[in-house]
Amino acid sequence: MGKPSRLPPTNQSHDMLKERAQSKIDLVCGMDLSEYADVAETIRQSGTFYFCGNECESRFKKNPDRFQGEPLIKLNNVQKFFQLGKIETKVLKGLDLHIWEGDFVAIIGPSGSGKSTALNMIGLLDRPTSGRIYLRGKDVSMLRDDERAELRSKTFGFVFQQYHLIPWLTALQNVTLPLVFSGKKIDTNALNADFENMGLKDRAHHRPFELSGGEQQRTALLRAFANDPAIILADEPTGNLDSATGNKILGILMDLNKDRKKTLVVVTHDAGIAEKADQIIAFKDGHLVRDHHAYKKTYTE
Amino acid sequence: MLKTFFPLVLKSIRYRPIRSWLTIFGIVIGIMLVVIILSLGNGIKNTIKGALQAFGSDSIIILPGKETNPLLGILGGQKFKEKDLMDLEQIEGVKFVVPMDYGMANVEYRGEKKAVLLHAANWKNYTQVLESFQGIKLEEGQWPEDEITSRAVLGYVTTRELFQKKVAVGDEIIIKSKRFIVSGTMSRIGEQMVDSVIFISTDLFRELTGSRSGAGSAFVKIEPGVPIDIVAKQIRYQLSQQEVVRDFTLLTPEKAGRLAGSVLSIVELILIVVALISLVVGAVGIMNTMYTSVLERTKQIGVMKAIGASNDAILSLFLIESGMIGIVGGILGIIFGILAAYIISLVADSFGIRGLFSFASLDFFGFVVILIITFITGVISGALPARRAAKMEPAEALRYE
Repeated sequence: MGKPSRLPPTNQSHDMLKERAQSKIDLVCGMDLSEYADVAETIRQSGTFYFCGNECESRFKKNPDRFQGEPLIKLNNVQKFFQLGKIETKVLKGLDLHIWEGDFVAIIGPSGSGKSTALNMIGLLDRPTSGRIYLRGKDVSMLRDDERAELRSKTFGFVFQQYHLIPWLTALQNVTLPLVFSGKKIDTNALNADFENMGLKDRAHHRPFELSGGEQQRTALLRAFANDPAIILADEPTGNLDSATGNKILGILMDLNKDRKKTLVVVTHDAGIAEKADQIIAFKDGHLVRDHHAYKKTYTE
Repeated sequence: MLKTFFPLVLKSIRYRPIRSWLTIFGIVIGIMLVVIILSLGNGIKNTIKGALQAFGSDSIIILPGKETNPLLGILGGQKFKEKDLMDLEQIEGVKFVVPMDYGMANVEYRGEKKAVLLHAANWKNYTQVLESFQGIKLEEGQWPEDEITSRAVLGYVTTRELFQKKVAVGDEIIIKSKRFIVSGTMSRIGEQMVDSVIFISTDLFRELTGSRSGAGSAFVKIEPGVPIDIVAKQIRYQLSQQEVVRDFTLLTPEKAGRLAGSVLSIVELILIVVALISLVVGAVGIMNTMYTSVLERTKQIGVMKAIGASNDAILSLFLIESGMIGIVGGILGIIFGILAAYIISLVADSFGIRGLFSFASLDFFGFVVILIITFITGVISGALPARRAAKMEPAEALRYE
């Protein structure tokens, strides 16, 4: 351990209440609106609620109880700086973000706005320079390496733009890798069925360089689902694919979101993807921008 | 865990075959040297000891020169007076003394001229010495019966390899313009000093070389049952009275063994140092390979961590890999080492040095130790880069190009 320890739960909820009372937080997207003057407000029995834009407000109104609960993932004032030689680049500058269970969230924004870095923070692939990350109300930003590895193994499934399959392993071995690391039993029959469903029946014993981009990404999807994670994180999953193949991949991800209630967070430049999402989060310069849906066209190609 | 990780590691090693084999090769060379030394060491020791003890356990050889370096004395050409040596026969316990002499001379056979080492002694006693103590037998022909007839006996190698045609008993050779008849040829002894010489009588040797009544060395035969140390002391005392050769050495069987031992331990020490150095080079090789291959796979490490690999899992993967490279290098090194030792012994055999290597005398316990050492070397050299790799943040590793 030896790392700065997590705050005790009682203090933590106390802090949160205070914070919520003092600042204007959009509960739907998590954006801190304290610095903005003309914020949409809704006054209800349970208090006053602020919204960054129409979409967040209408989502809230449809299901106010849901958004007054604990978000699946909450980023609280997260900062991430990178040291490149002597120059320090501030990628995330106090990011606040809520992701709700079962949502299909599309993160959009210009290049270098911190989308991917934020996704890495959500998926515990990196440590924030400062700030807190909560998973189901539990602070996970200061966990030990092995605890974070276990969470990555069981809770998150990752899909990357460059597929990131291990080149010296066959498609099937790549898919079994998460099972090996989580210590689960490998059910070959089930895996073969998955490959067949994915249309990769004949490709299971091929190595990545023998597969097309679409086949590689489908293999990567199978790998991401191998441990049946609750959250799928995809960093531009269709960025390297033609639109037909990309749509197929997106379809698979969305089916998983709709049918099996997996939370899906996709970083994308694709307007088509953003269009289909339950929630759009727009980034600019390491922050969220208000009225995310308005940027749907601006930040996508 | 090991069972599931093992195939993964194998695939990763086989993915970059040239790099992996080069690393293994580096270790193989180091281990090969160690194994050659281990398997030939005893054989060499025994051969040298055997060679030095060939003159028998009840004999003493007298050589000119200081004890620390008797060979220098022979090369220096100092000669004892024959009378001083023969007087040693009066010492109690001495059976007889055979003064011996050496010298190079040109020998002609069928028009072909070669320089050969002549070995001179009186046939009378020398025949006995040769036949009974060194196990020398005549292959063909017979020992000359007197000292004055121009007859010579040829060593095994001299007979066969010195001249283009094999020399036969009864043939005529010319030593320094004097005709000799080959009266006998000797069987193989396995020593250059005996196999590649021509034996003639002392009288004829003096006639040829013009040297008067000197002797390069002497062979002393002790009566059976007499303590050799005491006789040696008396010989030493009596010889110290003569003034021709100041420094001389008495080579007793025990001293010969000691000499062989000390020469050999120096040789062994040098070889072991060489072997250790090459082992260190091998270790640096593994370290270098592991380091670059970890760097090369940084992205894959990021991927594996992203899909749930713990630091320990990454560390294990790389340690298994480097350990395996170490152990494969060790096994191949042992196999090639034994093979090389065997080939060396075959080559030595063709030069007449026999018994350098035998499968029965292989030290299997030593080999197990070698395997353990190579495995540990592999693991240790892999540990540093592997730890570095394991500790990286996945996002950082994924960004790596």
